[in-house]
Amino acid sequence: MDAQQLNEALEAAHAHAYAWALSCCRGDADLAQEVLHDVYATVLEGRARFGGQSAFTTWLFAVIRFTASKRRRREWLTRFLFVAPELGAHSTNGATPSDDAEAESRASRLRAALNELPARQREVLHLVFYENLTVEASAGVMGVSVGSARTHYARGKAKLAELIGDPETL
Amino acid sequence: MTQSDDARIRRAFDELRTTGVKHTPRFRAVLDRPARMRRVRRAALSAAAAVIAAVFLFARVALRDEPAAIAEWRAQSDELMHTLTPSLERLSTGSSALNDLLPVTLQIGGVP
Repeated sequence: MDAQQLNEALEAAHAHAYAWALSCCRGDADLAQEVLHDVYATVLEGRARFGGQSAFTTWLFAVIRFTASKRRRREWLTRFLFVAPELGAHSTNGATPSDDAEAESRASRLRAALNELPARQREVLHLVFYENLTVEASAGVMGVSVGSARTHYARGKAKLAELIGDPETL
Repeated sequence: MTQSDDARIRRAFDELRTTGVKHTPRFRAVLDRPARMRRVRRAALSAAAAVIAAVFLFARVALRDEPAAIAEWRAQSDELMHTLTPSLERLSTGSSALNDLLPVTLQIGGVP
């Protein structure tokens, strides 16, 4: 893939990449943008190369996940050292006044429920339900075995169903 | 886990996707995000790392190197005292000048 093709592929996958970055950053929109910026720079500068063994988005999601976990560790270190992180507090996807306030509210309830799940469960549910990946492809993104991804998927789904509770709430 | 739970989760995610797309920043805005924040962050982290390194270095000197140096000095002075004391005592029996010197020598050797 040359630079032009990479740029186009990244732009085409941008909405999904942002949603995935947001999920990896537990809803912190600023941090998700920082992570995504780093990922795009890494890919365009050739520091991460797409080998073609999987779909481009699957590979991109794995790079985003890796970068986000690296950034979260640095965030933790920054907080640990009492240096105020300039990226601010967690925001929920930059919520703005919307015509569909009810849908917005239901979406933020789902985000809150997802944030209560362990990271692996949250990740696999996001990849399967939001990005429409298979559990096998999700396992590739998460760097775990398919069996392990299936377990996280089943447990996550049960826990999420419990958390969102009454069908009327969502 | 029932079929209806599954469908409910899928519906909720569909809704999340719809609202999420509305808030997605443009590709160019993310790609051209200014680097200023990152430089500030890097500088802050470097400064914090330097402070930690200094603290560790200080702790190492204070807690490990210094007691070791003191112990070594104490061992040397004890050894010196061990060697000198019998000779000084022998000499001091016949000399009043050495009798005067002995407490001073013991004092010098004994102070940690």
